[in-house]
Amino acid sequence: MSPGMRIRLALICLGVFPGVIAAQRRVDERHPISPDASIRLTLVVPMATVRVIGWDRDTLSITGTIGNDDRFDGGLLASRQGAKFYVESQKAFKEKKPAASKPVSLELRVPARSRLWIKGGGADVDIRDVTGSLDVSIVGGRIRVAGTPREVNAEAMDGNIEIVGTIPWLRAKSAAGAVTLNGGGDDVALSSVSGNVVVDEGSITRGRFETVTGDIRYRGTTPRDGSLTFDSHSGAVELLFSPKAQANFDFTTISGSISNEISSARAIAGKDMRRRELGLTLGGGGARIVARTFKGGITLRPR
Amino acid sequence: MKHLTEEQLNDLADDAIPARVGPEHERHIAECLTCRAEIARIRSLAKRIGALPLSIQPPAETWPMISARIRNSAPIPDQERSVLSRRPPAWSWLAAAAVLLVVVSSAVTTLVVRRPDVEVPATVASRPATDNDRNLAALSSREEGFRNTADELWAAVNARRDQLSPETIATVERSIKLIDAAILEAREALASDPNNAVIADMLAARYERKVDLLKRATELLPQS
Repeated sequence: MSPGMRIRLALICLGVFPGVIAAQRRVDERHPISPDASIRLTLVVPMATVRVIGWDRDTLSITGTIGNDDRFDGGLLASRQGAKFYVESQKAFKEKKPAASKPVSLELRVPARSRLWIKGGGADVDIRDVTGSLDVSIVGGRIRVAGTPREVNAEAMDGNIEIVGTIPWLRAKSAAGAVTLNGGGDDVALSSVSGNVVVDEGSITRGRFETVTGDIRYRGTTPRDGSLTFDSHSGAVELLFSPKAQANFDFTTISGSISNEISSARAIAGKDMRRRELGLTLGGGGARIVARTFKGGITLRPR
Repeated sequence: MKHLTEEQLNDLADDAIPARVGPEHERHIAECLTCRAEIARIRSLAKRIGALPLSIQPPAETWPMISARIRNSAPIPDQERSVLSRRPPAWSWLAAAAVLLVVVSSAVTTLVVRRPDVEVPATVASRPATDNDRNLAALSSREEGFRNTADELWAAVNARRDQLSPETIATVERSIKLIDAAILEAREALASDPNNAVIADMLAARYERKVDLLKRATELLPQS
C-alpha cells in the first residue's frame, strides 16, 4: 500500500476524509467563447487552487471541485466577448477560519489569446500557454505563469510570484513574497517589500527591480540600448553579467558596500563623502545599469 | 512623535523663543526633520514676504495701451454683438485685475500682520535662504503629500480591517513597519545631508512603495 493510500485510509478511519469529500461538489462547465475574450474569475474563498491552460479552441471549460457551501456562479456576455465567474464562501470569511484543506480546485481551459483577470484571497494560481494578457491578484499563496503572454500584471500580498517565459510587458509585485522571473521582457518591473526579487536568465530591455529589505539578484542580459535600475534599502543587490557585456554601470550606496569582481575598478567616496560610488564601463559602453542601496551591499560578478 | 504646533513652529522660525517653546520642544526639533523643514519653509516665506513691495502699482504704460486698443477696435456688427456681449468687456479685465490686486495685497498683509504680537526679526529678513532650506522645504512639501495620501489609505484600510483576514492585516502592518523604518533611516540621513539627491530619491521611492502597498490593501477590501 502506498503512503498516500495509508494516509487516506487513516483519515477515513478518523472520519475526516469522508467529511471533506462530502463537503465538495463538482463543477463542469463548457461555453463557446470568442478567441480573445475577457475572462474574469473572482475567488472569495480562503484558499483555492486554480490551474489555467490556454488552448487552441474557442471554448471556455471550467472543471473541478468546490466546497459544498460555496457558491459558484457567473456566465457569458451575449456577444461571447466576455465571461465572468466567481466562487464565494461567505461563511468561511465571516468566521475568519482558515480552511483545513483546499476544497476549491478549478481547472480553466481558455482560448490562448484570452484576456484573463483573476482575483483571489488565498490561492495557488498556475497559468500556462496563454498568449493574451493576464491580470492576477491574490493575497496569499502563489502565482505561477509559464508561457509568453503579451502582458502580465501579477500582484500578491503574502504570496510568491514566479514567471517563466519572455513577456513583453510585465509588472509583478509582492509585499512579503518573493518575485522570480526566469525569462525576459521588453518592459519589466518587479518589486517586493521583504521578499527577494530574482531574475534568472533571459534578456530585459527596460527593467526596474525594487525591494525594501529583500535581496535582488539579476543573472541575465540586456541589449546595448537597455536600461536596468536596481533599488533596495537594506537588501543585497547581486548582479551577474558577462565580462563582454556592453554596458555602463553606475552604483551608489549610502552606507553599504560595493564589490566589483568583474574588473579592477573600485568604489570611491562620493562628492559629499557620505556615499560610495562605482562607475564602470564594459565593452565600450552601451546599456545603462544603475544600482543603488541605502545600506545593502552591491556586488557585480561575472557570469 | 508629536510634531510642534503651527504657533510653536512660527515662534522658532522667528527666533523669538517665547515661553511656550520649552526644552522638550527644542529636543524634538533637534531630532525631527519634518519640523525643521517646516521652520525652514516658514523662514523662507517670511523672507519672500519681506522682499515684497508695500503696494503693487501697474506699470505706467498699461492704461494708455489698453485705452488705445479700445479706441482702435472696430465697431461690432449688430448680429455679432449679442454673441460677443457674452464675453467680458475690456473694462471687466481691469476690474478683475483690480480685485486680484486687492486680494493679493490683502493676503500678503494678512500673512505679515497675522500675529501682530510677534514682529518678524530683522535677522530673519536678512538671512539668505540657503540651498539646504530650499531643499528641505521642497522635500517637506513632497513628504506631506505622500504622508497625507498614506494616512488616508491607511484610514480606509483601518476602518474596514475586519473585512480583511487577520493574516492580510498582519502582512500589511509588517510591511508598513519595514517601509517606515527605511523612511526613518533615509530621513535621518537626509537631515544631516539635505543636498544629497540620492537619499532624497530613495526617500521618495520608499514613500511611493508605502502608498502603493496601502493602495493594494484597499483594493483587497470587498466592494461595498
